[in-house]
Amino acid sequence: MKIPAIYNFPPFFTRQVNENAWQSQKTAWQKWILIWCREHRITQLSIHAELLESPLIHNEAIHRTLPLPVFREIVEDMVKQSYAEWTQKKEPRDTFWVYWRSVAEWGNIIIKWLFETGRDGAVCTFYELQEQCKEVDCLEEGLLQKVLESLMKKGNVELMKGSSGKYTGFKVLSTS
Amino acid sequence: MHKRVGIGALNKDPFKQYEQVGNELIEQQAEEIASQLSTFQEALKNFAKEHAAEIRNNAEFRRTFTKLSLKVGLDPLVSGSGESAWSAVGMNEFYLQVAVRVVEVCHATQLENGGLVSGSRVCQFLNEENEASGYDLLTEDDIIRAVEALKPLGPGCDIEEIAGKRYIRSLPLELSKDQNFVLEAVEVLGYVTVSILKDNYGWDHGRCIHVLNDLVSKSLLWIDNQSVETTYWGASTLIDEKPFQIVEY
Repeated sequence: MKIPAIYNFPPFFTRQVNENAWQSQKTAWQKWILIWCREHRITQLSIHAELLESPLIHNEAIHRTLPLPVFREIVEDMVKQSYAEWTQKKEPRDTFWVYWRSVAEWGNIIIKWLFETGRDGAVCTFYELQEQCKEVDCLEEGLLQKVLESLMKKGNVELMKGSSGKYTGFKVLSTS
Repeated sequence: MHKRVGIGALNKDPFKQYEQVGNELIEQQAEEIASQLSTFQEALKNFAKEHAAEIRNNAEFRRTFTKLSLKVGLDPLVSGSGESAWSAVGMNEFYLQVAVRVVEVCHATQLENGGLVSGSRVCQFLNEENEASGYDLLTEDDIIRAVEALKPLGPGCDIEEIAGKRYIRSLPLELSKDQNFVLEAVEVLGYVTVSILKDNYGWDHGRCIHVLNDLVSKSLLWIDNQSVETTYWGASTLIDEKPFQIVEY
């Protein structure tokens, strides 16, 4: 992962007052967040004090940390641009999915795997899917379900409920 | 009347005649030099034709060739007026291509750096692209010459020198003396603080704040408030990398 030069620029961690500078600062943060999450295969984050120790917003080498309220401003912008999505619609919204791959792309990966492993017509549990398709083992539970729901809408799969009443698996209807 | 001969014949109007001889000699020498120069220029042009590819691809070779050309009066950036050694190399084209890339970068990053970018940073940035594509590396001189090559095409980017380092300016910047002083200080350390300005220039607090705020409002300085004292950093090295690519699966 190539760390962007701006990550080592101290003002990067201070909310710029100049509107133009803030716009480009936000964009740079969004790119950094996407790159970092992709590198670490992280699909979900929470705006929480723990984050203050993560290299994502804390650069130990230059002793600078992005304040959480500023991070939230940036996340809200990412949500507007579909690079992120809150996991809960209602307040307080702290947890969000990070779309370094879009839901559609994740769906395509799953379809491809189902096709390649000859699972047309077969039944598969979420557990099995993540165990055997390494590409998607990093998907948070909620996001995995969201992806499969999108595949259901497209007619590729039919979701199945387990004894708990929650979706735990799916039947493959079509891999095309 | 008998004809004067010998020295006597010259005595008629000595100064004028010496002058005449002197002029003839100078004329003769000038003609010789001009003809030698022209021969040399021709040779250089032929050399350029033969080694065009190498001149384009090898920065060191190109630098030497540039120096040599300038010495014999072949300005690489002169357009029109006959065929120059450089058009043989396709040199104008080379510099124009570099110039286009430089201008693109400058325009794309005006928001973050206020239209003032460090020449060395631009060079570094373009070389990252060149390296990835397997092209030879550019030098800071190439960048500067490229920007200057654009001049005949109208107003665009300009070269600005601050504290001995070269910057590319893509927005009109009317900087006051105070603002210039601050940018020079920034060039040395990468940043300034009110204390630094007070200590070095003897300005009072108000004057410092005024200038610093001006430069911040032009995006030339960015603020860092996580230090002992508010620190103002130069934005001229801020060139954003390529947009995040969501790779289509």
